[in-house]
Amino acid sequence: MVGISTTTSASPRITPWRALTWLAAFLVIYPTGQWLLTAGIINGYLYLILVQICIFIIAAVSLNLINGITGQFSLGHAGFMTVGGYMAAVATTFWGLPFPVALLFGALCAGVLGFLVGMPTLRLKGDYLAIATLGMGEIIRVVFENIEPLGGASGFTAIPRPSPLLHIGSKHYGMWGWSLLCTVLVLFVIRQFIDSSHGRACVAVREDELAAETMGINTTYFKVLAFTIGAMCAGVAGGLLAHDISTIAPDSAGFLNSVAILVIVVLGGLGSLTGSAVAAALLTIVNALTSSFTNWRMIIYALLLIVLMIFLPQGVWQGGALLWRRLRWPWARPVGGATDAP
Amino acid sequence: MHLETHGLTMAFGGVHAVTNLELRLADGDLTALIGPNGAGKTTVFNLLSGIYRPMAGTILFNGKNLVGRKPYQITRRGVARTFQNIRLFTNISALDNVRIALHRHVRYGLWEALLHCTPRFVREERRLIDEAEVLLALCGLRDVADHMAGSLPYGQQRRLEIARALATGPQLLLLDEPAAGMNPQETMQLVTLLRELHRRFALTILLIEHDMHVVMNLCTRIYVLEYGELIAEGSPEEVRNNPLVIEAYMGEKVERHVERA
Repeated sequence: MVGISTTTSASPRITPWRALTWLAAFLVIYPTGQWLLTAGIINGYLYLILVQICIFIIAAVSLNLINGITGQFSLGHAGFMTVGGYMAAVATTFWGLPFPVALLFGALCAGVLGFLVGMPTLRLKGDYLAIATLGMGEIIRVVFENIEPLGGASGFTAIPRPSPLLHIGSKHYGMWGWSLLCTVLVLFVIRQFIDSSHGRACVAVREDELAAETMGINTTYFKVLAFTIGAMCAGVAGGLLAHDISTIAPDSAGFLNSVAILVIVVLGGLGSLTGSAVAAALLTIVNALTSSFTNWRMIIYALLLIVLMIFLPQGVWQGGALLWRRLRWPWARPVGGATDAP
Repeated sequence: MHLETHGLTMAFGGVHAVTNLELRLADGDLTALIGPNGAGKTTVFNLLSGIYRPMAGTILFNGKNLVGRKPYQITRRGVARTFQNIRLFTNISALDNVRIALHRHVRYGLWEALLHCTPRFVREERRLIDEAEVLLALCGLRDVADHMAGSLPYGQQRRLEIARALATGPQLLLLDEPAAGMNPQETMQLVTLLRELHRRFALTILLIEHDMHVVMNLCTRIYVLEYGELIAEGSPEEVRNNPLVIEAYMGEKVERHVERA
């Protein structure tokens, strides 16, 4: 695979306290954002972009777990998002369940689907997963197009917007807290997973499946595990998206949407979670800026990918760091000519 | 009896890679499997480690049949191996390579892996690092623990493969050409290392090797394979003087070579 960035740092880390760091980050960012929103410093347009950034971070990071960390090529991420979105919407609209419970329900449905698709295909070596997930996305689209109670082809509309996580100030902008909370949770859980023995087993599968198997690792188990976790997180992203724009359509399971998430992951660097998050933010902003000429978007995506593969094959994050080191100007080097250039 | 194979047979299409192989390794044996190129030695390893499923025959390890088990199950029963064409996890550190092989000894579950919140998790991760560092030091890789496995020099990669195989906690260690590509000095160090590991972990070792210095120095028993069939077995002395072995390595008669040419 092209430009896999290394996920394990040079010195091993044991970080049980990391939970506190993430909690602290959330406790700072959430009220600040909510206050800025209520005070009108962040307007409604920026709010939409912020929420979308959160949603795409969740989608990209979870796809990175499958594609970048475990090395399994999945093309069905938008499919899992759609399933999660529909199921969460059903839970809130028809059953009146609280929003977090509905999100969890959507995630579980997407996870079960991931398990069912992954079980047979991940036993095989090779690219069967890509083909199976490609087909799965189309099946999901066709299935939801034909379920009339869920709006059929025109989509499920009038999904209720959730009320804010905490009632600080305004009753509007409810998605801000929820999407931030989910983003922090997903980033935290996947980060911790990668830094555990189970996560390292997934990396081993990516590096050399046969060698991993010979080192006593049940490769099928870890492939299915990573795929199911990834699908569940995609379900969360889908549930958030459906409630954010209060509608969801069968088309969203399409191939192009899966590719859009894949583009984020490749841009950010396969295997780099920070890269995925940065790229998700960047691409969402690019999308927002180019919203008046959407026909050009795919061309911009393609050009971005080509340029990046040539100049930063390890993605914007790690590749960017390498480039920065290489770009140190001659006069900045210490006298004596000692360089740390590769 | 530790490892026994009976009538082990494997063919790829019309090529008989291994035919009716009978191996017997006792506890603590240091045995070599030699033979000309293409004799089926690596196929034997692939059969023993479960990568191939034999067409006929049984593999008894500690009295239990290994045939039909998956590679990871066989490893968990105490058979570890290295690869002829090095198969390290190249993009991660040497330490992580060994830690991955220690995974089967990890005593925490999925929830702890996702949340890292129990004392047991911290204790286990510390133990993994300690054990991996001990194994790396033993194989002379202490100073390169943080280096990416793929960036290590060839000789160190070979030793890292051995450290990784040891981390799975084997009783039987299968080494596929451990000295291939090494210079005489590195080969000497390797022989010393293997002796040390053999003693320290009470291992049974079966190794494929072309370097006869290694084989004759290290092993107490030798099996010779040609065209998938066992043509000789015995002590180094016996094998060295066996006419069939000399024939397999040197060719039968000078005249036939002339004819072929």
